[in-house]
Amino acid sequence: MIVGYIAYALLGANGFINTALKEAALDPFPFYTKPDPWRLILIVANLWGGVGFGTIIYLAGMIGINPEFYEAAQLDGANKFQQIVSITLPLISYLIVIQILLAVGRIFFANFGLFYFVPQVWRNGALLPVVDVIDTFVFRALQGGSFQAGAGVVKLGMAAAAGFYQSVVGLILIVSANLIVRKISAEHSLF
Amino acid sequence: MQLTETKKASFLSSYRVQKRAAETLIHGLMILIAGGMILPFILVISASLTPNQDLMVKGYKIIPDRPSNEAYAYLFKSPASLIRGYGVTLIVSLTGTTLGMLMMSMTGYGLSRIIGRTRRALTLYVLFPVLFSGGLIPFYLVMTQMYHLNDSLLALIFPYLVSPFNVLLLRSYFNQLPQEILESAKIDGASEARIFFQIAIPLSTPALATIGLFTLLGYWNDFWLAMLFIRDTKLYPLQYLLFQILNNAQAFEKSPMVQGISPPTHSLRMAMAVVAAGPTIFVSLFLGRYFVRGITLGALK
Repeated sequence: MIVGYIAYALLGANGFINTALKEAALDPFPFYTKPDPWRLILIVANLWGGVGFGTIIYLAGMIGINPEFYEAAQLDGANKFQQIVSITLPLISYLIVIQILLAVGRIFFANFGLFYFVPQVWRNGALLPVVDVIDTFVFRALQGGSFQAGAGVVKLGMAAAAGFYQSVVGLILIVSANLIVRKISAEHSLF
Repeated sequence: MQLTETKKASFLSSYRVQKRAAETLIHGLMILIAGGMILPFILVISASLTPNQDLMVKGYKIIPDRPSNEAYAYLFKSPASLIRGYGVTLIVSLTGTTLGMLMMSMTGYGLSRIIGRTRRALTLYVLFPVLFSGGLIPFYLVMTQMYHLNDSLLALIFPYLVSPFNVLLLRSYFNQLPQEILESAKIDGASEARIFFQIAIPLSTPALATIGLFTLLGYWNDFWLAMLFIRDTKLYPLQYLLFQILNNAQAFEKSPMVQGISPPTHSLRMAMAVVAAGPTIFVSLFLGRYFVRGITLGALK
C-alpha cells in the first residue's frame, strides 16, 4: 500500500523524477501511460520491498554460525572471501534452498499489491498489457470485469479456472523442484 | 624464509592501506545503497510537509521549499474516518492475533505431542494448503455464499487466523523443549491442557513473541480481505481507507469529514500514508530483534 504511494510520489506527473527532469530542462515522462518502463519498475519496486525481509532471514542464519569456525579459518590464513565461500555460504545453504523452493512454488503467483496498487491499474488501463498477472486477472473478474482485458470482459468461470491452474502448476513445480533438490542433497529438501 | 623487520613492516603497512581502501569502497557503496533504499520514505514524509500548492506547481522535492503542516492540521481537524479506520484495524488486529496465536500454538503443540504415523499424516494435512489451494474464486464463494461474511469484521479476521507455516514453526519449537519436564508434569498428575498452558507456553515465549509479531503485522497491513469482502465504508480498515483515498480523491472530498472546504489533496494523501504506516515502522524498529531471533529458532525440520 505504502509502496503505491511512494511510487506515485516518484513517478506521478508532478513526481520527484519528473520534477528533476523539468529542472534539467528535459521533457517529463508520462510513466502511468507508457507500459514499457514498468517491466523494470516492478522489479525494482519488488526488490525495494523484499530485500529487507530477505536480509533479515539470512542475517538470522548467519548469526547462528559458531564464530569459532571463522577464528579457526583465520588461523589457517583464510581471507574474508575464502571465509565467505567455505563457511558462511555452506552453513546458510539450507536457508537459501528453502527460499528458492518456496519461490519456485510461487512462480505463477504474484504479489497482488505490487501489480495492482503500484501501477494503479484501475485507472491506467494502458499499462494492463504489461502489468496484468493471473492474480489481478482473477480479481478483475471478481469485480465483475469492470475493465476490459484485450478481447473482452473477464468471465468468472475462466478466472476460476485460471486460479486453479495457478495452484496446480505451483504444486507440480514445488514438488519437482523438491525432488531435484533431494537427488542432489537429501538433507536440504523441504519434505 | 624469514622476513626482516623492515620488510615485515612495509608489508603490513601496504596491507593496511589496501584494507583501508577496500573498506572505504565497500562502506561508500553500502551507504549509497542504503541511501537509495530510504530515499523514497523521506520523499513521502517531505511531500506530506509541503504545501499542496507547491506540490501541484513545483512537484515533489526532497526538501520542501517552504515546509508547512497544512496537511496534518487538516487531517487532525476532522479525523473521523481516520480514527474509524484505526479502530477497525485495531480491533481486527488484536482479536485476530490473540485468537490466532491460541489456535496456532495449540495445533503446533498437538502436532509435537502426537507420535507415530498419525503425526506425519496430520503434519501433511497442515502443510498441504501451503502447497495447494483452490484459488481465489472458490475462497470467495466459500466466504460469501457458505458463511455469509460480506461486510463483517469476521471476514477480516478468519482467513488469517491460522498460518500453516507458523504452525510448523511452533511445532518444531515445541519439539525442542526438554520432554522430561513435560513428562514429569504428567506423572505429577497435570492434564495435557495444564501442561500446555503452564509449562509449554511459558517456555516458548520467544517463539510466540515472534510469531505474534508476524501475525499482528499481517493483520495490520492487510487490505486484501477488505477489498474482497467489505463494501460498507464504516468497516474500512486503515489500509483500505488509504487505498480509497489514493484511488480517488473526489470521494474523499465528498465524504462528510471534509465537506465545504477544499482539502489539500496531494499533501494530504502523503500525510495519510505517513500516519498509517508510522506505527508499523515504529513497531518494527523496536521489535526488529525478535524477527531475527525468531527466524533462527525455526529451522523447520
